[in-house]
Amino acid sequence: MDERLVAFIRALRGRDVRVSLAESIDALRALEVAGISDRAVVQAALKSSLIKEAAALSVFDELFAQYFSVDAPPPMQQTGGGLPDEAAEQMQQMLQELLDLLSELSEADLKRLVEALMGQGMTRGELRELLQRNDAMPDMSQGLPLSWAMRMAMEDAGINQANQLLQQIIDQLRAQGVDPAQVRQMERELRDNRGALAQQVAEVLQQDQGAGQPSDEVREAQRDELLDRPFDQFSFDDVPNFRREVSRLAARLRSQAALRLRRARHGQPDIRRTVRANLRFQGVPMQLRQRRRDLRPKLTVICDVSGSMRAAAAFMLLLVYALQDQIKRTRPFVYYRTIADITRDFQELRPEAAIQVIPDRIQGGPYQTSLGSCLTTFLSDYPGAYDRNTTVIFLGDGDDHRGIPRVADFQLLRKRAHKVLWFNPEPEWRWRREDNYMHLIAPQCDGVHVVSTLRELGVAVDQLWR
Amino acid sequence: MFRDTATVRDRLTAQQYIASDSIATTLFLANALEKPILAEGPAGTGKTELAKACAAATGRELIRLQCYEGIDEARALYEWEYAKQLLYTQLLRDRVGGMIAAAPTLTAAADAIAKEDNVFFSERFLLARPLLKAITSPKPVVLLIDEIDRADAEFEAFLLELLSDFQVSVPELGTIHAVHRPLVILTSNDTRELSEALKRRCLFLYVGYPTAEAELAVVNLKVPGVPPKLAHEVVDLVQRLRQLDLRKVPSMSETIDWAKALVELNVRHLDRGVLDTTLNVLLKYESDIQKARRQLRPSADGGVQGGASGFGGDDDDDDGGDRGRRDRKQRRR
Repeated sequence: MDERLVAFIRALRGRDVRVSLAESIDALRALEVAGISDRAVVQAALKSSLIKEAAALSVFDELFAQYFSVDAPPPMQQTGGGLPDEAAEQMQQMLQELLDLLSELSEADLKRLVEALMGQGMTRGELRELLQRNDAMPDMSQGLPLSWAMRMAMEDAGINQANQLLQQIIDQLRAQGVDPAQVRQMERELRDNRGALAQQVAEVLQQDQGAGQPSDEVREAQRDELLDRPFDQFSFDDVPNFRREVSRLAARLRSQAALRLRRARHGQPDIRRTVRANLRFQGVPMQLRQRRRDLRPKLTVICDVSGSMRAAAAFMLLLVYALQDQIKRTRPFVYYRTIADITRDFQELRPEAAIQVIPDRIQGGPYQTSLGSCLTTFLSDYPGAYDRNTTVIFLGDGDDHRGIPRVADFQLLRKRAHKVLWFNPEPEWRWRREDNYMHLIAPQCDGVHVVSTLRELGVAVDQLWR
Repeated sequence: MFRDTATVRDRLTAQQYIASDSIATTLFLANALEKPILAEGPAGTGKTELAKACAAATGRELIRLQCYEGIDEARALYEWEYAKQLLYTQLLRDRVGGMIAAAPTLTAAADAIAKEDNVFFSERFLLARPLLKAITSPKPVVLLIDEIDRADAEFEAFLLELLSDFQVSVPELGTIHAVHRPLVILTSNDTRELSEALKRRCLFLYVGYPTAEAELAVVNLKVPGVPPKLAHEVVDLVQRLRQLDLRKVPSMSETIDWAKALVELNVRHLDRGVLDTTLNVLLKYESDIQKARRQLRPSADGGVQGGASGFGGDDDDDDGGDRGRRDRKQRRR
């Protein structure tokens, strides 16, 4: 039982359900106390200890049926049951001759397949052995599509030969003048049985697929690779595929932020609130009131979406939106040749859909980035997007191909906003090239972070709650 | 407390709570493994009711903590009762005066007072809030932490210590351990994602809308005197309403309210007129009521049926609008 549970948990993880070690232990303890005699109880016990979000419940039910089902042959149709007595007798005779012949030729597996098609189902264990004997088990760890692997396995096991042999019997019946409708009925039953057998083969293969999932270390390594892959190696269209990675990162940042916010409550005393609270004690400060700062930041994110920056911008926006509950307000902007407010898109669409419409919101061809004029437009057109509580984050390489950004604009912004941060996906040594104005911009910002990978982006975003 | 899951179910049924397999098993495990339950699901599906039934079934007291945005330790755990402390210092002034009168120096007087200061920071002046009450209670209790998703993430972090070790620290008194481990039930309407750490410490229970059978059983149980035919019709209609694209689909509790209302009105069976006058018990938005009226049409025998023909072209527009609104609302969360 333990082994099967471990395999089951691995399969769950393979389907991207997060199961921690603590939860696996809970599951084992749960089975210990709940007992394993009642299948429904086992299912409920495992469900409540392993699954922690409603979205994963369907995956659980599906895999549970696979891993903890009773290994009985599936119900199959008794082929030829509807034939008239005489024909049925003939068919039985032919079938018996065929089976005897196969025994003589020591084709036991082929014989078993014929019997299965005629309605004597096999258990999964039996089927697995049969497949293994015939070298018909495809290697599921190679990531083969299941339907394809299933067809291969069926053919390798010799289902086509079995089918042909039975087809000969049917042909003979037809030649002997049995009612065509009844023969067709028999053919249909054969097809159904073949379908049931295929389904069973698929289940056997699926078990292997679950067990053949890459180990946790491999998955962890794959994740690390993703976290450390430079943004310029992602294409903009890939980004939604890595949403899961972003939400994992966000989950970690969220817990950290939550802990920090909790500590923030014990801060400086708030004189005004203390005096007011202590009026009833004749002004003697019996109750101290701390300043209750809402430390959730208000963000304005301004992203460069020129070709090279687009993937980084998309990751940034996904991450910020995954952290919405820790942020008081977010105003996203994108700039290229012009600047556009995309707050509406994010209100109306899911973040992963909203980032896909960004290219429609903005014009610009290669080498048309104009940071300077975009910033001037931003300052004059969106005064509501930067106030003394707002942290303004720029994400871009600092290029401007059509002018020079005005230092005065940055100074004004820094004066009005709580903080101005610059996230640059390019390493520092590239900041000196032509048309790049990072050397002008950097001194005007409260912080400059190099964020060339998701991991670095996570670290930089985490700073917002410090 | 419970021998097996069947016992749980029987005891809950005795409290007029119909428990599914997963509810009964989870409750049994929570008790056996001493772990909290996190019950999640749409509003009005009986999550809070579960805690109440559970308290009644085990004969334990129910201590309830309703969460809201901005709830903090002072409201959830404990507070020093300053007013009482102040009153005591006033009343004891003479006594204190006498005590320090003998002291030759100021330092000696301060020392004399310092020796007694734990009088004022003792449990006498501690105002226990639900969480502290639950763990210091001399008898085992059921602790219901309702709508945890409304509380801030920081409060959630604070709960972690309590839920894993069942102990809390009060700086002036030290760590207080639970006398009896309470049976903890947290509920959440899933308006925001809870932290992994909290989920890991809990057994998870998803309480969704009941099946028609279960709902019928609950209606029969909770609404005494409901005619069997009416109960059938009510449940059938509610189940169909849940299939429609409404802003807020009727919950279990609203089904019960509606059935009660119908019994009060002495209705024997549903027809158009009854539906027109009482649908507002079930649906809480005018647009939902309109949509339901359009899509449920009376059948030939005067009963009410949902008709595929009711899905007219003009519905599509406001369907889209409603869905958009709901999605936006969801995202804002």
